[in-house]
Order: sequence, then structure tokens, then C-alpha cells
Amino acid sequence: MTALIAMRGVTRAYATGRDQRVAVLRGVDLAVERGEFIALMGPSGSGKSTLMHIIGCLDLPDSGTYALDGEEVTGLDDLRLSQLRGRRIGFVFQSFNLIPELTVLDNTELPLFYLGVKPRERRQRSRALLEQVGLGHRLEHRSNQLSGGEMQRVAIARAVIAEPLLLVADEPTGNLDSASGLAILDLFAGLHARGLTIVMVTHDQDTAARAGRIVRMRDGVPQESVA
Amino acid sequence: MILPLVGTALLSLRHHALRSSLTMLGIIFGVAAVVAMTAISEGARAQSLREVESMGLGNILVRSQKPSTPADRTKGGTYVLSYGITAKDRERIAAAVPGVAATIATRLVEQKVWAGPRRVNAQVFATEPAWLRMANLEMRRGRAFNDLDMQRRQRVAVIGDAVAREIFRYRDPIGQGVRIGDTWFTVVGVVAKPSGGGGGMSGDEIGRGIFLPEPAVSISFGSLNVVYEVGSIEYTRLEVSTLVVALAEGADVIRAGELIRHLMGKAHEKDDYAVVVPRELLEQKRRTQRIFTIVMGSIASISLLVGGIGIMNIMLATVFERTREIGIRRAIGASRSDILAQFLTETVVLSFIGGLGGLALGVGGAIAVSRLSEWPTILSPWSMMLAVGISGFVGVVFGIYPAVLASRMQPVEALRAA
Repeated sequence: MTALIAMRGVTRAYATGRDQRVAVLRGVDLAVERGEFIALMGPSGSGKSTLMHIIGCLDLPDSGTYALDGEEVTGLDDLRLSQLRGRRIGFVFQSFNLIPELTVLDNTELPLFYLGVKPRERRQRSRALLEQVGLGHRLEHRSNQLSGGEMQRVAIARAVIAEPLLLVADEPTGNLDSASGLAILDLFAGLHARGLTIVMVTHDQDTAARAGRIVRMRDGVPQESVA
Repeated sequence: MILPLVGTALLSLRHHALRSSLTMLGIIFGVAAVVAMTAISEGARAQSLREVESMGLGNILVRSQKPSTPADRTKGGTYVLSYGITAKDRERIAAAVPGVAATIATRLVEQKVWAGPRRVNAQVFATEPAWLRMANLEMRRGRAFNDLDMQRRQRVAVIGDAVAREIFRYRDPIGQGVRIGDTWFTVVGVVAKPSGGGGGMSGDEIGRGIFLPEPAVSISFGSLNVVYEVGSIEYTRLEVSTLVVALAEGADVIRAGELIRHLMGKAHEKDDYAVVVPRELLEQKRRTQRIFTIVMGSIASISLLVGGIGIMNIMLATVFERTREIGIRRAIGASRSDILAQFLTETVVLSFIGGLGGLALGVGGAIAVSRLSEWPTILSPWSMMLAVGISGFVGVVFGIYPAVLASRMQPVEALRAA
């Protein structure tokens, strides 16, 4: 069986000015199997955010190949990429990135809206999921009325509502106090136990220790090490 | 797919209620201007058409008018002022103008009308049966006078409905006498003006009119009108007040009008007549109407344009302000076209609501205008649909650019936005 993430020679450079480009990824080879929990570490500027964006299909490599679940991602059009993001991938961000005007329920079911799921089913699924993450009493609250820990739990519910293969998390505990952060990591552990593949960017050694494998980025290239 | 988008749009518009309503103002006023303008100009057009048509588009009206009094006229004494259309003019026109079906004369008789000791506000006309037919008057009661009445010089009268009410109240006027000057006439009919026709007279003139057969008038009062002024008696000789020249079907009315002007110009030294060609008036009115429509239309379009630009401006600001939201939506599976549809819907909904507001304001404005100024207004369904349609169109036109901009944002960069 093929790996869930199979990257070969991926490069990515950004234009910083006229005729000037900075190479951020310099030939990344990376394989992640189904059910793995990976921590992506490295100093700022090492390219870990860019790598995460490419893994999450928010960005495309300049060169090299990237197959997600056996499907080559480079060269896909916007519609197909958007569908991949909606169906296969869930995102969790450091700053939660909920839409403040929407209620907790509406935020959670938004991915299903873009997948064309009927309103009744959307409601049912998001309600059930929010109750699982312990937010059954907050359904009709606007998301900016919640605490940080609660917001991150809504974000996780939103990330997994479409039952993705891969959860991509960017410093998910970075804006939380340690108790809330631990609760979030417990949620991740539970999701991982149920077979979800997780790629988590983090600065924190203890957080990274919860992962099964640590990939350290240095100067645009990953240096593998086992946790 | 459309309905949830409208829901999303309404939600986000409600979130910025004040800004949304201010943004709508331009569209509201633009659409209100369109609606009120079309209502007023439609009303004015219909009214002026009615006025002109009531004169009869196949007719030419020749009217006598008093020439300006000579400056060296001395006060006092007795003199005769003779002016206006003569029987000779009538014969000439009937003979020389091709296509004349009939010429019908009416003459204003300067006699006072009495109801007991009171004077009645009425105008007396001497005319002939053909005029009553041509004017297409509505016989409320009784009959018109006819050729037999003419031959026998019967002193009979057909009176307007307003006059009938004033003199006879609730009694039946038919067979009653009405005193004109010092002579009694028997009322044989009561007329009112129908919706069309009128033979060159307005509904009010007809309601206040008393119509007598010409022969009876001549034997009663002669053909001189006598006006008493302080220190003088003024006799005026006026043979015909208004001559209606009815043309046969298919005759060239404009050409006949020119010919009549020419004939009258040769026969009269003084400027004591006027030729009115309703068809020419109609053309003129149409021209002025068109200019009015163009001017008002441009004002309305400019205001819609400005309104549209205002909306685009705010939507651009909104797009930049909501860059992060765009990034989030893209990250969880929204495609470019989803984002495009979202923002386009928002603009269209915004300007559509503005359009409905403008429609309400325009209809209210038109009603207020017709109440206050007694201008007639016509609110046609097509103009209302046009106005709301235009607002939707403005939304699409000015919403496309901001929506395209939103959809073109790179997800990664959008997520980095503050």
C-alpha cells in the first residue's frame, strides 16, 4: 500500500523582490504512512510552515512530486485542489481561524456546505461532533464568545467533520494555557487512536514528544529522527 | 446552492448593518429617481395626450382672439370693435382646403345667466347641432338640439352638468326655463364631457357651458355683443369664436393647417385669430416629453452609476477586510468559484435590497407628488420591474470586480492576513 504522503524532490521559492527569489524548500523527500502522528519541528525560517502548506494542498511545489493518498497533487486545478482540501484534509491553526460572525454550529458544518451536504445532515453531524468534544452547551454561541480552548475544540471539530484522512495542525497549542493545550493534545491522541493521520507543526519539545515521529527541518530540508 | 449563499450574504450584511444601509443609499436614490421619474413623465404624457386628443387629431381649430387694444383709444363714448373669424373665412376654408368634411362654428355670447336674482357662473355659446355631435358629449338627460330647432329658431338650450346643478339643484331641468340676458330658453338636454372628445373644450368649460342654436341667439340678441364699462359702452362684433375644421379620414392635417394659416393670413390684417393644429401640438408634446425623459433618464443613470461605484468601493474594502475569512474558507474546501459566488451574491443582494428600498421611496415620492401638485402620475408595473432589475444589474456589474479579486487571493497569503 502506498504511503499517504509521498514527496520527492519538492522545492518552493518565494519572490522577495525584483528578480530575487529565496528558496524555502530545497528538495524535500518525505513519506508519511497512514495512521502516523508526526511532529514537524525546526527554527523559524526553516521552511516547516511552507512544507505544511504544501502537505495541506494550500500551496503547490515549484518542482518535485507530491502524491496524497496515491493521487498526484501537482498540476491539479483549483477546483480539484479545493475538493481535496475539503474531503481529505482538515486544518487546525494556532489562531483557531473561526469565522466570528458565525455560530459554533455554523462554523463546524462549513466544510460540509462546500461539499454540498444537505442542511439537515450538516446540522446532525456537527451537533453530534460538538457534543463529542464537550461543546454541546455552546452550539448557538458566536465563536468569539468562547475561550481559547473552546475555540480550538470547535476548530478541531470543523477539521474532522468531513472525515478526512489527514489532519494538519499548525502550532495548535501555541495560543493556549497549558491545561487547555493538554486537553487539545488529548483530543489529538484520541483521533490518532481512531486511525487519523496527523502532521503537527510545533516549537515545543514536550508537545512534539506526543507524536510518534519527529521531522526536523533545517535550511529547507528535513532531517529525520525518531522521538 | 443560491439560497444558502443569499443566507450567508444577508448574515454578513446584517453584521455590518449601518455600513450596508449607507452603501445602499446611492442605489436607493437612483432607483427612486427612475421610478418617480417614469411615473411622473408617464402621467404627464398621458395627460397631454388626452388633452390634445380631446381636440380631435383629425381637426383643426381656428380661434378668434381679441387684438390688443389700440393705444390711442380714448376712454368714454361708444364704439364698435369688430374682430375675429368671419362667415367669409369659413366659406373660404370650406372651399379651398382639400379634405374638409365639415366646418363647425361656435360663438361666445356675452350674456349673463340668471337663476332668480342670482347670477350663474356660466358661459353661453351659440352653435349648431354638428358641434354637439363632433364634441362627442355625453347626454346625461334629454336630447341635443337638432336641425328642426335651427329652422324653427326655437329658443332651446343644452346645458352643462355643473350649470344644471347650480340652477336646478335636484330638480329635473328638462322642460324648465333658464334666463339668459332678458330672454328665456327651454332646457332640452344636459351634457357632460366624456373621457375623450370635447371639441376643443375642457371638461370644466363644458360643465359650465350653455349651448344654444345660433338662429335663436341671433333673433334674441343680434350678432353684436354689448359690454358695459364705466363711462362707456363697448360693442364687439364677433361672428365666430371657434371654428372647428373637421377633415375627412386620411386627409393631410398638417398640410391643411398650413393652408388655413395662409388663407387667414391673407384675409386678416390684425392678429385676431389663432390656428391650432392638435396633431402639431401632439408632435411638439412628444418632443418635449422625449427631452424630459432623456434628461431625467441621464440624471437617474448617473445616480445609479455613482451608487454602483459606491457599492463597489465598499465591497472592495470588505474584501480586503475579510481576507482572512477568505483564507479560512479556502482552507476548508471553498473553491475560487465558491468565493466568487459568495461575494457576488453579497453585492447583488445588497443592491437588490437597495433597489426595493428605492422602489418604495420612488412609489411614495410619485404618490406624494401627485397629491401635492396634482400632477397625474402613472405607476406602471414594467417601470417598477425595470427599476428593480436595474438594481440587480448594477449589483452584478459592480460586484464582479471585487468578487474576482476575492477569488484570486492565494489561500496561504490570505491566511497570513491580520
